[in-house]
Amino acid sequence: MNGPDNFAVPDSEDQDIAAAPHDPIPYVDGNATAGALSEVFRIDIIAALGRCRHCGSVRAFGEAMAFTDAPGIVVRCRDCHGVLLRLVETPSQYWLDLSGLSYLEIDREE
Amino acid sequence: MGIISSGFRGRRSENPALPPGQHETQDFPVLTAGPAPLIPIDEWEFFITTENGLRLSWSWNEFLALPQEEITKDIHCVTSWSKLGTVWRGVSLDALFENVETTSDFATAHSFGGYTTNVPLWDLLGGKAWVAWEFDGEPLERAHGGPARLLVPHLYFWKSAKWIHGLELTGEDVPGFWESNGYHLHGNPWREERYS
Repeated sequence: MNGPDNFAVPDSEDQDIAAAPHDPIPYVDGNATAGALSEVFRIDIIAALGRCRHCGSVRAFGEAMAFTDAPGIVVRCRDCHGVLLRLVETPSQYWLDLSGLSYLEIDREE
Repeated sequence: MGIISSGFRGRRSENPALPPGQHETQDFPVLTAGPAPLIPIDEWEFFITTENGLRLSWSWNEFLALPQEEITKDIHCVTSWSKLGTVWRGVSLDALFENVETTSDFATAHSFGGYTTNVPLWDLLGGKAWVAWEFDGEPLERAHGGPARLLVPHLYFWKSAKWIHGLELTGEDVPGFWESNGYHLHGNPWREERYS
């Protein structure tokens, strides 16, 4: 778990994803979503490289910020805080929003 | 996968104050879809925009000068915890809408930080909703939506948007952050309107 005080504050002028120094909201690394996301992805999305649609940053998905104390899982870009992925589980469906990722680059298994 | 509510505590009770599928918690769990925006109080405002281009806004001091109400209500989170008898202080939306003329039936609540949620206007007026800035006699903590949050206690608590910035009145019911990804457009806990 990352503490709120080692939160990297990006230099963003976009108020919709405004920086939040000393954020009181806990979050975990994207790696922590591996179990939940393995139910909807055959691939290992944690190791995949993803491009943030909001700021263009390319990083391993596992480095992203995951907010799991919420009505669903929200994964945000570590650089701009824009939403990369949302996953909601209902009793009968998964709702998956990947619109914050412009691509995922996935290594094929040998 | 199970979505774990950190506020889960106890078994289903026969307490008639609890809507179906809810459990009582004594805690006040923090459920949030992202970082807490930092809003300097001199930059804070609350706005209402209407379909005909009207934009009203209140600074923090103007907001505090409006009639204040103490509100005691039960709150119900869609993740299954309920907290009974919570005490808030804030401004009724009836007071904020006093000079607003509109034919819109719906509103989109916009938060600092980008969160949105949709609420029908008839669920916001008539003594049913507030902009709250005090909880339990103390200024609302940032983690819980401070400086101010929307308070619509008769709907699931994801409708009570933290870090509220304003209300955009719309002719149609436009799904917000959770409503566009699996959650119910309306969110009445007594009808268990959890999912779409």
